[in-house]
Amino acid sequence: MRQTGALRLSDSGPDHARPMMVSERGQVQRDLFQPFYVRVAPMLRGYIFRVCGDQALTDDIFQESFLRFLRTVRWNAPERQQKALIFKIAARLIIDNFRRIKFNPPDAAAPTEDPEPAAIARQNGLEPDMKSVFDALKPRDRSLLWLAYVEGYTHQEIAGMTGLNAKSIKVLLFRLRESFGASLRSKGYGLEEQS
Amino acid sequence: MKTAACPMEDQVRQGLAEGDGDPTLRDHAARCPVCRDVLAVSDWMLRFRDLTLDEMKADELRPTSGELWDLARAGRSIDLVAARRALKPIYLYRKIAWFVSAAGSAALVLLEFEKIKSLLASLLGLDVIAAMLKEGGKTGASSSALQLAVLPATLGLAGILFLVLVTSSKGTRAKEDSSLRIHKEFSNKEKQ
Repeated sequence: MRQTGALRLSDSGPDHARPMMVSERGQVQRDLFQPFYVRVAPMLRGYIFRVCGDQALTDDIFQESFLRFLRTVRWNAPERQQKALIFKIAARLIIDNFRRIKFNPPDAAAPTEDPEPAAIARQNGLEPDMKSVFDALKPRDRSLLWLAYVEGYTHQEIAGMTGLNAKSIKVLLFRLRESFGASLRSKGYGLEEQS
Repeated sequence: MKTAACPMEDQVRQGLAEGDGDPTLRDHAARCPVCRDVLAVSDWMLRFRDLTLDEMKADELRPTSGELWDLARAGRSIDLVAARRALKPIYLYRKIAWFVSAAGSAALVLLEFEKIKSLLASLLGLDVIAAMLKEGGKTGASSSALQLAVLPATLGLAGILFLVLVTSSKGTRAKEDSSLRIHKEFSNKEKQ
């Protein structure tokens, strides 16, 4: 069993049973965290990367999110709640970061007009149109779309993550669906055919 | 602006995101105009997610879960109150050491003044300086430029030495205080 130095020192005292329990609990939590990390980490990294669009920033926010998550998580909570917590932390960190550095992506000002050359998107391994359509959105809209349609969170849950009102989320997502749908149609993704 | 809404929208989105191919949800989405749009956008977004994950699969997932766990534990083990308490005896004994050495030096100078005086006089160069100052005091304005420069230079050097000692001691303390303050602010933010 893995024990810290502090726990080993306490073992010689009369109250040695309690530190052992703490250590065992730590080990159990560590064992719980490992599969959770394997399941959630790629999704979280994908979300942060698509919203931020910067690899170094993604790595920073990703690590900080998990560190904060590990300080606050309740391991007896359902996994959906735990997953929502880490996405909430990441969403807040992204918002803080945009506020702090006054991030203003060039594509936010000029939305639809060819934000990235197709060749670069092809190098990234994505269909050029898909990436350019998504990158043309504002960071907040990208975040909302991802949380709603990729992670499948409810309006209430997204409201909790972003610090907005649930009704506002509903309206924002409705508008976004309309405009994004139109954008997809204009790029030839033919929404009617898919449905 | 009126928003078209469907009570099953959340369910449809959640089902699609979880890869749940529930036929009733699909049927509903095909009939409901709101959920038809939801389905279309969802299909597109899920395809985009798959492409993103495929693209990122090449990168090794760093840090590992174990590294993150250890980092988080290290961060959590910093207890500012405990750290201050642990440093308290060090600060106290440092003050005592300063006081004892100052008092001891003063006592030594008072008790052994004559010996110190003779020792200083025997040091190479000091007797020359003393003689020069003595001569300068006698002759007044006729003192040479070198003689006039010796006293202020000695005093200046002593002053600089004293300032360096004082500021380095205060600077160390200020750094310790500011780092503790930053840690405290950070943990307050965490709590909020």
